[in-house]
Amino acid sequence: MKVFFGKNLYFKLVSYVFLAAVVFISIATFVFFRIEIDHANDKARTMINQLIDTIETTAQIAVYANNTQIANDVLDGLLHNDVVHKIVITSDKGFSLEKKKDEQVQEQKEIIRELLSPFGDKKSIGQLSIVPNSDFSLQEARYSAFSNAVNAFILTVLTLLFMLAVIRSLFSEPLLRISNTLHNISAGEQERIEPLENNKNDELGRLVVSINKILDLLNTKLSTQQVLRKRVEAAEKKLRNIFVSTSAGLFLLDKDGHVLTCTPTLLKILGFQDASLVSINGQHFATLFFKEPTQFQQMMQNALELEQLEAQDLMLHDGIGISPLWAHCLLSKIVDAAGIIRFEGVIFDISKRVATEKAIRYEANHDALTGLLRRNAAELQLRKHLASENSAATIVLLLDLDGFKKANDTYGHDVGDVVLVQTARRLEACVRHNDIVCRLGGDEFLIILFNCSAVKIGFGIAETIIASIKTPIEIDRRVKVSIGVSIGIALFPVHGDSVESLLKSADEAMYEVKRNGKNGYGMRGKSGAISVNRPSA
Amino acid sequence: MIKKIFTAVFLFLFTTAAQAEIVVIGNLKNNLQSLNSIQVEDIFMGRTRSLPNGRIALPIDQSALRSEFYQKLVSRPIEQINAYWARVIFTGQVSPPTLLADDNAVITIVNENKDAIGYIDRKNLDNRVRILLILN
Repeated sequence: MKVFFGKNLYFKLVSYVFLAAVVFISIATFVFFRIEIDHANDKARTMINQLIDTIETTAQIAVYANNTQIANDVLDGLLHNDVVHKIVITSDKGFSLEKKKDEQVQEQKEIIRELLSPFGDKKSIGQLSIVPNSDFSLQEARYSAFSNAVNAFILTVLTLLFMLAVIRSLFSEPLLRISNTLHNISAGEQERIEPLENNKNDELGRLVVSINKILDLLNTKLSTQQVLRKRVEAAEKKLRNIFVSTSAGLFLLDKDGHVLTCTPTLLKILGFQDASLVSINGQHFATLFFKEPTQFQQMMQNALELEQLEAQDLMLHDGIGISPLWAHCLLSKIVDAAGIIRFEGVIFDISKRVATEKAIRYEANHDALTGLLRRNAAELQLRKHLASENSAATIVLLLDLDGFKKANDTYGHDVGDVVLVQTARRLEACVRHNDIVCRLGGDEFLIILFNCSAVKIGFGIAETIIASIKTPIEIDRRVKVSIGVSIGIALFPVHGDSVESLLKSADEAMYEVKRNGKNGYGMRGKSGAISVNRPSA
Repeated sequence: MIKKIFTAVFLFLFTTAAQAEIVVIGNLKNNLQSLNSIQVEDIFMGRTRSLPNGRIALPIDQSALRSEFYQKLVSRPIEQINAYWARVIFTGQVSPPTLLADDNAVITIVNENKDAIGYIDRKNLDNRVRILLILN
């Protein structure tokens, strides 16, 4: 039963109805019993009254004639009735008779009938009182209620059985058929439920039509979706190709800077030879690649706070090659629909550009021939140095080669160039590591000596230079070029507190050397006169 | 037709009016002077057997006036009286009054019996008996 109860709708339905019916029948029986008891009590009283009607004349005669024998007969006769429990006949003329049944019952209210004289003036001559038997009413009511309940129960059960059969054949079986067919249909197939012969126009018939419609719709949708999916796949493939083959190094980071995804190009830029074999997902981007991770972290911080595109050139970690690797990095914050913060960025390889820029800057600051600093760059450095705190004891040497013009005219520009280059190397060799040697142009040079605690150091260097330049320069076996140098010296801040004044003072000293025979060095003295020293003379 | 009906009504009224006046009589030697109708009814219907003075009564019926007597006494037809006695006799406790033929027989018995009580048509009354009650 339990199996059916759970399995079949109609058994469930009928079981519920049955339970409900049992409850209703119980309630109805109880109520009916209460009503029926009252009814039975009424009925008992009616019956007793009718009984009294029947024997009234005899009772009247018995009382009238004072005849206990007749009275006893009457009492016995009445007591045979189930409905009677106790009878009392009382005569006004003296006698009183009482009879009752043995069984103990609840005392009911007695029914009293005045006995009138059968003759003459109809006055009352006695009383007949009957106590009804309450058991009788109770049994009547019980029987009545019970038979009612049995009736209702039998009718209910019969109706339910009939319902069971009807529901089963009208609903459950067609539904089961539909359900079984549906069970065997898989999505996208052309199969349909056959229309039910007996239910064409009712709910079940409509259900079948609706299900078939849905199946049709499903079919259409599925095929549409298949087409769409193929299109999406094609589009995705294209996009993936673009993603894989793009020359931009794209990357996506989470909020903390861990790599979520990146293009293979990025890995190439970052120095991995075989991009397909490496996965950097989940690793910390900044420390993984950049020489100074804090720079990148600062970019992230800025992008997070300022909500703008951050752009910066960054040096990469992997500087194994000769030239350092540089990357231009663009970084911006993105917030998706769910509120999750990520960073997206692009990295371009700019190592070549940086190298080029460096070269350009070098060319701008250095003399192309000798590799020495140009005038502008040197003056800039000097100016900076003079403005700084340790500017004291700076010595400026202004040099002008002697005999260079002649050598140039004699042996040609190529030789002149060799002389200049050679001179530059010798000058560099004469100064200390931190000092600056600069070509002002033509055959003029400028040397800046820093931190010369004594003027003598400057003089010493000047003398070393003069000696060094005096050594002939060997162009080839046949040609040797001899030149000299005139050096004007100026001290900071004695001879000037600016670049211009220092250079002017040095220039004047230098010309004084030239006038005094060259190949020496000169400096303005305390008196204002320029003293010239020619060590070789 | 109408005449006939009138005649019938007249005859009916006449005969009723012409009914005998019945008297209840007793023995002269009995000190009982009179009875009321209830006492007479009790005695004749067997409800009591004793007279007001304590003596046992001997009620006497008579065939000629019986129906008329009971009609006057208890206003019931004689058939009911017979039925009543039929039931009461059945118990064997009481007997109905002794039945005699006519007024003469009743007068004779009452005269001879000190406790006898009977009834007769008043026109046949004589001094051998005493009137106890007159029934109209």
